[in-house]
Amino acid sequence: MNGNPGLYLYTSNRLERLADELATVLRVRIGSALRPEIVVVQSLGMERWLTQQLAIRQGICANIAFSFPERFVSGVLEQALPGRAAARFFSREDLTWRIMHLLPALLHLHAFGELRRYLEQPRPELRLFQLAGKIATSFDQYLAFRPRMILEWEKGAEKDWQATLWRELTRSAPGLHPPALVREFVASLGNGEGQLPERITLFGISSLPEFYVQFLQELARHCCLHLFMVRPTAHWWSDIRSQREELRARRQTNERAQLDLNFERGNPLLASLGKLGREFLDTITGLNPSEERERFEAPAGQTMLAQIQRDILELHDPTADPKRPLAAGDCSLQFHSCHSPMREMEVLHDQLLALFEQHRDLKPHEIVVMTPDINAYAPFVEAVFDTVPEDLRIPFSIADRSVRAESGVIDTFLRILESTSTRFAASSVLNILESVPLLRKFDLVEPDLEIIRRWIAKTGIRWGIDAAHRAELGLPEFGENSWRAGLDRLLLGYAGPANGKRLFEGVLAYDEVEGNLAETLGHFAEFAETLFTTARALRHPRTLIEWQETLRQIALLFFPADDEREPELHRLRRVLDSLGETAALSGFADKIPLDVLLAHLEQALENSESGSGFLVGRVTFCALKPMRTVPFRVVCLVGMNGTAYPRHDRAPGFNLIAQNPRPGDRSTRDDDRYLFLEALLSARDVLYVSYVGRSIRDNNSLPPSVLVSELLDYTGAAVTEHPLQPFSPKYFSGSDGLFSYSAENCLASETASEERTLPAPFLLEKIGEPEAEWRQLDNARLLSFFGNPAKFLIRERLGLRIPRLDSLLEEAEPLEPGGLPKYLLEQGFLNCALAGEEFEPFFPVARAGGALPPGRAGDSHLRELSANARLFAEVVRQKARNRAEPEQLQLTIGRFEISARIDSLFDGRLLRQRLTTRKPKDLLGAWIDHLMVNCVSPTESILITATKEKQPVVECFAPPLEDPRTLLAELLDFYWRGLCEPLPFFPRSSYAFAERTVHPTRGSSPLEKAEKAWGDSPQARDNDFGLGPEREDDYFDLAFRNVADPLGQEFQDIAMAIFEPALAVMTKEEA
Amino acid sequence: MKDFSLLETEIGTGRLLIEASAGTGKTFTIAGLVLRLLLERAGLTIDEILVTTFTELATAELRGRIRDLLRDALRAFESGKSENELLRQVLEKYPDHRAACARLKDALASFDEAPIYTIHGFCQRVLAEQAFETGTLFDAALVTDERDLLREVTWDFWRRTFYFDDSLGVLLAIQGKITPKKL
Repeated sequence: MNGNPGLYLYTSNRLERLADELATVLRVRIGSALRPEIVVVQSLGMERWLTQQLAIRQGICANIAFSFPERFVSGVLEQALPGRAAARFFSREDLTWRIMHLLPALLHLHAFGELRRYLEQPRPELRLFQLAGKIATSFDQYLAFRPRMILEWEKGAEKDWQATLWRELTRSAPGLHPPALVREFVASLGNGEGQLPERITLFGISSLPEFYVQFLQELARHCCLHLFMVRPTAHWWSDIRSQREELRARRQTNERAQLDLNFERGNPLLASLGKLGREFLDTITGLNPSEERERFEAPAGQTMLAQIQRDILELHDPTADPKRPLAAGDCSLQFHSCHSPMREMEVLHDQLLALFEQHRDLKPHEIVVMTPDINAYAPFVEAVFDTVPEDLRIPFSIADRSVRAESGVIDTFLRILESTSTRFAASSVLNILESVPLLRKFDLVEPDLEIIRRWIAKTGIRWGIDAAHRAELGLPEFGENSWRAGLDRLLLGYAGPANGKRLFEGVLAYDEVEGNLAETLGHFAEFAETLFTTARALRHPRTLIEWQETLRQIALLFFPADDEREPELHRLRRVLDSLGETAALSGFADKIPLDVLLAHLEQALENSESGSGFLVGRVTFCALKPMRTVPFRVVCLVGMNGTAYPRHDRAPGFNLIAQNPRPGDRSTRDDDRYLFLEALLSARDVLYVSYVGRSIRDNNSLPPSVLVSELLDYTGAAVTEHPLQPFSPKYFSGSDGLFSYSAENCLASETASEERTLPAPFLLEKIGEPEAEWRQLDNARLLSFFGNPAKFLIRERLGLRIPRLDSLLEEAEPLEPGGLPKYLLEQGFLNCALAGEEFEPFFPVARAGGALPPGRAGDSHLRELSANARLFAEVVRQKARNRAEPEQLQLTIGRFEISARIDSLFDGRLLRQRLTTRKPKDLLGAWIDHLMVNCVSPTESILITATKEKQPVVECFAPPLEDPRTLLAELLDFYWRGLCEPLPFFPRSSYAFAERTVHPTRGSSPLEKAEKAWGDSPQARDNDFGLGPEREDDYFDLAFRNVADPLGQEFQDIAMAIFEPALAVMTKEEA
Repeated sequence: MKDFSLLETEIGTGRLLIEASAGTGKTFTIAGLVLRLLLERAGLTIDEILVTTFTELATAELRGRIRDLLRDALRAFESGKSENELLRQVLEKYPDHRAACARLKDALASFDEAPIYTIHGFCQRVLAEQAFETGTLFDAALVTDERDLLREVTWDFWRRTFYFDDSLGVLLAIQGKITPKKL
């Protein structure tokens, strides 16, 4: 080809051949060797691929200025008409703000009635912003697809609101908009003015809007324009329309003539998928290229994929022929149906491994995996590809993720902004803090989070900054369970203990801030204060410039500057910087609230493409995006579910393009269809398709994308149905063509197919007796043993602890006190009552702990708590007169030394009281002390507890009928035994059994009662103490797993041996 | 109430309510009705037939079933024969096989535009497309599970009404241990 101006068109069905042609073109220099060669491509992926290809062909790829169409056009215009271009001004983003600026002043016009009514509704600022965004998008499309209409608008006097608005926009514009620029540009070229590059190359572009086409046409008059485009077929295919278009054409002729029309159809896949490329080829051909070069090449080979590609190249319609069977071992076209995205990734991983095994020369970078929704699939990609054993790892990278998924810094930054309108629930604030760079900024480390979480739970922080914050939300002004209340408690707790009762300025100190955690507390408090101050500050509307400054400050406050996350911060700063430019260009100077700014920021961040992860020498996972399909040996399309693809765009009702579509218009639907065709054609060895084809809940069949269905119908290929589980035996039996490389799952499948066996009992045999010092103990330790022998054995003897799972943080203030906090309140009130103190001074202390509901409900609980305490204290005081001097008891029982401090002898009676329903453990505690005291001299004991309604209950033990030393020795023997093996003694179940045996009734039998407490009977949860089944206790559960009958004879004997002597001497006494 | 015949009952105008118990083939009937509409109404295209149902799962299933039936019907019309009893009757009922083929091919080629939605999916689409008329925000999101919102509203009612009010009713409610969980 010579160097004369004109349009040079290169077409091929293979991008590699076009790269060959380009290399040939570039070999001939035009003009200065120092001027870079201009190559216009449509995606970063294409740029990277082309660079590599040219380097392979020429040994080097240098001095090429790659550009995207938009930037290229504005560059040329800028150069040709210096100072006139205003490309950025007419970008979608800046148009939005210009419209925000101009629209309100136009709303009084009649034509704008519809808009005015729309904007008069709630959240007007956000409405205006969203509407402006929609209008800007439409205008942006008009500029590209309806440049003539825009020029008409400017001349004409249409009263339509869009035309009026557009005229207002251009009146205030600093420069000319693109269509007007091109008009001037053409004029100046006609006058022989303006400078142009000698040669311009457009590579791999499958479609361009009308505006660009007109521009190219002008360029081709004055310079060499080389256009390289992929064409699915060498044949003229512009007559091949899809059945749908055909039908539309038919409708225009009369009914009878319809059937006589006979459209040549050619290849049905091409007809259905190829609209976009077909229309573009039409357009380009309409430009009358001065020279055309075709390099068509039939895909070689007999694989199914090659046959389909040949069909398309040759316009062959095989659907009429007998079905072509898939040859054995032909994996060029694969369809996989799975139960979930996770399963799709597991299957993909195995299939890729198989391909690597089959094609020894296959490299990871020759594989691309595309999906309609990369954000949804990315976590599953990581979950599967990152966790397989080292020797099966496939290197991969993920491109196109949303900015929030890709950048933790930006996500946290946006969360901080978003928190402003939230209620600061405990867990959501903790969520913000979990960001690693943010932790570092506040000098915290990840283990601190556990501590902070505990503090939040213990100090009763639930939601809301403080009382004022709640008032701002239109709620009562109460401070309980707010961050302020909790933080004050923590900080005061560091200053000094409150011992549960002293208030300082209305704050109850939290007593458990360990001294060495002071720094952690300080840093955490600083974070919380910074967050709340920031949130308060953000609530006022600001101008764009003010926002820019404020947000920069916030970024400095929350993220360290010298961070390895610098690229992410840089991306954030760049977007913040552009806020100022936007304000300057658009002239928009009003104050906007945070929600509008957030909406803008998210869009702007999303547009600041990072371009990472595409073609970086690994398997590329990316979104299905138009015009980036470069050849790969293996092309995988995953997540091709029912309605996920093709996608449809929903233009707003006023969009004039949607109202009057024309050939050459773009729609996401047609783009997606063409993209599917491109994917099909760019696969060199394998096309792999997978989708969620079965409901994971009920195994119902779910259809794939319509395009997949079309391809399935076309090829008659079978879909591989995968089992629900990766460890299904089907994968390892070599049948059904299913296989897996996972050794783990193989093992799991073997285990799953074996007879189910239960885990072995906790201890296979008794462990040896402990050292002699275990024979020295006090009454409390003995009671702790009988409170839960299994726990004592596991924790004390074996030194094991079963970790408790964190419960979720509460999100609302308490409705009523419950659990441990309630018990502590009751004890607090009782201590008051016993000491003869007034209750009122204790009320604020009780409230400050955060366990009571606020307001009147809290008052009601306080009254109830104090009334109960008063009544109970009354009884205790009655029974407890004339206290004896405390004494230390020391007994030798057999080889045991047992001690106790006896300090509650009143009038010769031993007293024990607890304001709660009597648990078996209370009885055992009283009984152990009773036995010990009776070893010295015969003594009575009383135990004061309460009913569920808090009515005091007094029980009395007479001296035991048998020798107390013998009974004590028996208990100690159980203790010794329980140190060597799990002792089948479960306080609640054992007590239920013994009690019913000693006091039989006509109701349920002793064993039934025991089973109920243990949890073996249906009414398990409805037991006497309102507690869960005893068998569900972590320690009982572990120690007695797979013990055939824990409530057997041994259990019954032990229950009787322990409880019967106590029950025999126990009587009720008047309260 | 009349007995319904998939192929014979008049579906040209008006409303038609089909009542049947679970498992009697309602989904199949809907697919059959779509097929009939396409064959009987010249000029009616698949994107002009709205089909709604309740859950996403049911929608997906319906989508698959309708497409399968249209494809099988197309094959039957192309070959002039079918294994399927219903399709054999269809072949007989619509003698113009060429026209039927054309319509079914068109429906299959633009099947991705078939408005087969859940009821809320359809409402969302209408709200988004007719934002001016309905006054909804353009970028409104659809909440399918409103329990969290309800809980928050209930709690706020509780906070405003019960925390600092001394009226008898409030005190009685507290005495009676009425809580937001019970509201």
